[in-house]
Formats: sequence, C-alpha cells, structure tokens
Amino acid sequence: MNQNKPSVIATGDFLYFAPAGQAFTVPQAGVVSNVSKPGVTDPIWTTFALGTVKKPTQDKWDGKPVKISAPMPGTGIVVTTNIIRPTQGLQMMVEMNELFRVALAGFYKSPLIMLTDTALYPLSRSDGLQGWLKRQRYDAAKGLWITDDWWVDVDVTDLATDEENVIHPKFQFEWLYSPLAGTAI
Amino acid sequence: MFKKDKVESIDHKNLPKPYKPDELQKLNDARQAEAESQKSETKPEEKAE
Repeated sequence: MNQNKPSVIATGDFLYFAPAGQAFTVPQAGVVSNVSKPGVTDPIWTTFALGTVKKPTQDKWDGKPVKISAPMPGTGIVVTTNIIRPTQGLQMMVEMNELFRVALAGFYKSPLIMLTDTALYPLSRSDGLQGWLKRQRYDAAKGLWITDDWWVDVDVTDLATDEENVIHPKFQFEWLYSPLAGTAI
Repeated sequence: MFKKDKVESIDHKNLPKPYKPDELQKLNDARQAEAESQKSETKPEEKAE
C-alpha cells in the first residue's frame, strides 16, 4: 500500500482459514498452531474455505484506560500526562455469502467437520475453534492494500437468512496472541 | 514478543488447490502416528527416572 498520501479505499476482502491441529506441508511438514503457520502456497488455506465476503467489519476494544496524572512542571496544577491501556483486543465480524463446514461447526459448536464426515454432533465441543485467518483486502484502484495474519478464535454467531431466503453466516473472529501474527502493508 | 516473520499474501490468480479428502486424512494420520511414536519413545526414559 502506498503510504505517501492518504487514500479513499473501497475494500474487497478475501478470507483464508487454516484450522488448528491440521497437517500441512509447506514450507515444511507441520501442524497448524499458534507457533506454526502454513506457507502461502499450502493447500490448507483453500481446503477449509469460508466463502466470499459480503460485509466485513472490525472492531477493537480496550479495558478501562488508566490515566496518569502529574503536576505541570513548576506548578501545582495536576493534569493528565499519559494514558495507559493495559487490556486491548481486536475483533473482526464478517458476513459471508456461502455456507460451508467451518460455519456449520462454528454455529453448532461441533468439532471441526472434516471433508469425509457425513454427520456433525451439535454442542459437543467445549473448547474454542481456533486457527490462522489470513485476510487480504483489495481496493478498486491499487489492488492489494493490506494482508492480515491473525491467530483467532472463531465463533459463528448467526446463520442469518435474508429477504430472498439466502443464508449468510456471521463469523466473529477474536484476535489471540501469537508471535507469528502480523500485518503487511 | 512478535517474530519479525514476513506476512505473505496468497496469489489470488494462482490459488493453491485444496487438499483432496483422502490426502488430508493421510497427512493427519501420518502426523498423529509420528506424534504417538515420539511419545512411546520417551516413555521408557520417564519410567527409568
């Protein structure tokens, strides 16, 4: 992304997902975890496809900011000199056009549905569904302007049906710490 | 805190082809077997201690 001047961006987002615990082979054999991220040419990114993005939104939250107050030099007036935000978080809420197995597993709280599975078992998962989320955002003029690598907890809050009876799963991705997380601009 | 690994982008004109169901199953089984064999290799040492 050109950082020389501010720009107006109408974004088209693409999401790729690699679920925790799945084997991958690129750049070397490994298992997806918060300390092990598949390379971009590994087929795992497209095996558990989420679909196309209808509406991407994101949010951040802070815990209560702590204000540090101190007197201005040489005066008795106490003013705010700093604000510390010790608790922080990032979320991504995305509405998709298609329904696929990660959306079903997320909504029904079942274990991850594998390609060969023919059934799912609702409410049979107590731990979170985690994985690597790669979000690529394209603008109309300049192409790819940002790529996010987030290690996330996945929740599907709703399998919403629109006026034409089309189902749009609503994903909520919560950013979790990983030393391999980052964003390319 | 963060490793300065480059964040790479997937080439949208040349997307990786998804794993076939049996391919991924085989990979996962192989990794599982490898993890279990490593566990069983370390067990005798634990017992010796």
